[in-house]
Amino acid sequence: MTADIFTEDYCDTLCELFNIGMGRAAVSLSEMVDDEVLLTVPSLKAVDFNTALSIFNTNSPGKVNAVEQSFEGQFSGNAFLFFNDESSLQLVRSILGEDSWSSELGEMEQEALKEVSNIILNACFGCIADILSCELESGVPGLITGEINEVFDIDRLCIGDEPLVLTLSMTFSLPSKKITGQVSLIMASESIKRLIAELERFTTLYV
Amino acid sequence: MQHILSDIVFNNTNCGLIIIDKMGNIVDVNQWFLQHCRCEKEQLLNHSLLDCFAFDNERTIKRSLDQATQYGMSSFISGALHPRLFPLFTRTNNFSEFMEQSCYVKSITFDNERYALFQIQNVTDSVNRECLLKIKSKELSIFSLAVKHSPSAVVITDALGIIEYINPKYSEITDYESHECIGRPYFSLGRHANNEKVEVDIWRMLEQNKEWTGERSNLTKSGNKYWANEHIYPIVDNNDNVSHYVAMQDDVTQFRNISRKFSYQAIHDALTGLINRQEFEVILSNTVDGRSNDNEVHSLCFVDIDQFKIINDTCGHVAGDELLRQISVLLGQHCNDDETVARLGGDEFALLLYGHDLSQGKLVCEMLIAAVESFRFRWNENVFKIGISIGLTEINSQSTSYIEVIKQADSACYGAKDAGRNRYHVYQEDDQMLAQRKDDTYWATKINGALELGQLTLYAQPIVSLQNRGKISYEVLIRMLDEDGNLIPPGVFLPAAERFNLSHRIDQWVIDNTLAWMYKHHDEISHIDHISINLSGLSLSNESLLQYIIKAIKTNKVEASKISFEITETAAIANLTHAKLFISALNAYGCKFALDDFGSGLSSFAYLKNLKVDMLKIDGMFVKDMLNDPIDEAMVKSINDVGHLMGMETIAEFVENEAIRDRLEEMGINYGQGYGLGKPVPIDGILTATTEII
Repeated sequence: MTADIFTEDYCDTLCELFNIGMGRAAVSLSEMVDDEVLLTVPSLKAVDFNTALSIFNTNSPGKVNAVEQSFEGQFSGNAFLFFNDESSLQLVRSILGEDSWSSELGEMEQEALKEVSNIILNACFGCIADILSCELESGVPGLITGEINEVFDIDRLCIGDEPLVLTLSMTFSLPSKKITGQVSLIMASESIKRLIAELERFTTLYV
Repeated sequence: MQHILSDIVFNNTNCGLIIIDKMGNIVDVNQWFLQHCRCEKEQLLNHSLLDCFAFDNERTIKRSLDQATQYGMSSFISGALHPRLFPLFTRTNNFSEFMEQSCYVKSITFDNERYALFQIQNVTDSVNRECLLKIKSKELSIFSLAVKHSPSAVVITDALGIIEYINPKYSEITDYESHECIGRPYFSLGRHANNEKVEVDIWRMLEQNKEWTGERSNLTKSGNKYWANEHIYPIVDNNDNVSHYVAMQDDVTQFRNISRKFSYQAIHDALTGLINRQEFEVILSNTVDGRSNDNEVHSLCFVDIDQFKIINDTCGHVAGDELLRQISVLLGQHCNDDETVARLGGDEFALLLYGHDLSQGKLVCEMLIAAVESFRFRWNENVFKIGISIGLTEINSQSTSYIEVIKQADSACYGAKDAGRNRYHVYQEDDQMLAQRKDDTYWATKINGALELGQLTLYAQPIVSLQNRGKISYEVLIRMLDEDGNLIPPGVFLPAAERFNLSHRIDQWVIDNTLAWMYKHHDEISHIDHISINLSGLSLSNESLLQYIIKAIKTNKVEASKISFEITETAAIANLTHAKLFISALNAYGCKFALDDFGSGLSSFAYLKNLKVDMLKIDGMFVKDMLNDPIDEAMVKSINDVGHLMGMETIAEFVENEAIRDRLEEMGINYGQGYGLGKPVPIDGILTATTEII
């Protein structure tokens, strides 16, 4: 199966859903840090696994910090939110309001990154589950640090045949900074088909 | 059984577990949680979680609960963003403190109902560790920033001297980027032929765990040399092993340049750029002391510019300075690079000729004298001929100290001056004249003695008319007699008299005795036109001497017109104002004046306008060779012509033979004087007028 089956229309619909989720996440984050946070997802793309890898390698060379959450239900897969090293530091330190003495993420900073990413990822799934009225369950978030290839290790992910990657760039707008992160959903082709089915049901009903 | 096992596990887990239902009520809670929240199970079961505890951020708890129980989403609540989420306590060493926690909220399903499982972990140790780490890393950051932004270049190497770190200042000084340095041996950067030896010294110190401090030159990446004040020290670990070396460099190139300029100024003469006396003495001292064997000889020359004072006095110090500069250039041009030329002060220069014995030194002296002789100093309209006197001595196995050598060269230089200037004189240990000259009072005593004991005597030399065979005149000359009655020529003691301020006393003695002689022999000198008396430069400014002469003329009833005074050109010019006064005062009584040695020194016809003299005595140097040297002849002729034009009579000195006499006669010179016309004789000898006139 190729990425073609996930047409531009589905991309747009899903992107809309994610943006609703992002709105909710932004509210949660704003409450938490007691300052305005805006989250936006400008576009979404569906690509095959290897293409996704090469895109990520080009866009985020070097070490990345990724928060991974698995999800299961009517469709299943793994969701990732990752930042390059510098963005991770900027994001966490903006939120924690800390001085930047070190160029490494500390233990507590990693925890904070995990929580923030969890809020965003949950908002996305929560929104999909809510709006599409489907059953989904997500696992607890985990942090993986390393090169893109290590994060997206196909053997570790046990993702099934011909996985597709739905990838979207997201932007954090903090009062003093704009930080870009990447959200990716890796799903087996079967799951993608089920997601498409859900999206079709939704569009028939509401669009 | 299984159910019981789950309960055991549930209550023995090393983390807090709470199960919340859809309504937000606590369904179950484990022992760990109860222990740390200091509550009884009954206080919590079936109560709303939000009612049981006062949460700082209730919304976060509520959101996590909703997501878990309604949508099956799991959450993570971090200790970083929500410190002390639950009011839990930890007990360590009987000291109770708040527990730092992180919390997973997992959605679980049981009997088709969704529940939220709160899983609380104690992260107090992590948080404390993190805090400590943060403090340490902040501290480290400050240190590393301090090194990074240090105004000194800092390089850190491993125990083998391989570079591990360089700071930006090091890059700034050397142009080496960090990646070009790391992994390379520290000493391989900036190495050049002259600093390799220092490396060995540095390593010797470092290997003894000692630090090395010093100034060293290194090369930049592009090969430019820079000077660094360098400090290298080992970093020793807890086992006393060197783990690293730190090298710190401060670029002192600019500072060295300034200090080099200062040290240059300290050892050089500002006017001529030659080294000065202090430095010369150091070099000389090293040369004298540093002779390696008896065969090693050097020559030392003291050079003095003849009549320098006159140029300084007549043309001003600016001219004098310029002359010194030009002479210094001239000396430099005629010396090799390895020879030392110095200005000792005033018009004195010194040359240290390495490896020159006396015969080689003499050649250099001759060359220098010839070079200066052919040099002309031009100042405004004037052109001056310059002469130098050189004292030469050898530095050899007999030389005891540099002070002794300087004294020898100085004495020899006086010797050269006394012998008539514009020549060199070699110092010799058995040179009686110079040996005596070492004692400054020798001649003062001698002349004073001669004046008192009557050891001075008058001689006279005829001045013959070349044109009309008219009356004869005489120049009075002085001779000194030593204890044995031998004659001492005036060339020996007159320069000394001048130096010791005794010349006016000699002048006075000559005037006194000449006038007395003329008075005594008043009737026997009618065949003589006039008697000529020499006056030194110092006498011209001596007012009492002038009065003395006037009084003598008056009392002795000598015809003033029979008296003539000879003043040397250089003395007249050096004391121009006094000379003019002196001349006009005695002119009034009818005394004549002659300008002696005209042409020898500075010869400016312009001065003749200011000096009302009656006669010009053409310097013998031109006369004696005039038949062979057309330039000399032209000089004689032109002095004669100008003199005549200005209404002066001319006298030629050094007329040594008939051919010269004939030529002078032909040229229209008025008078002649010299061995060819008559030798000096004791003054009484002229009374009978038996002197043979050629």
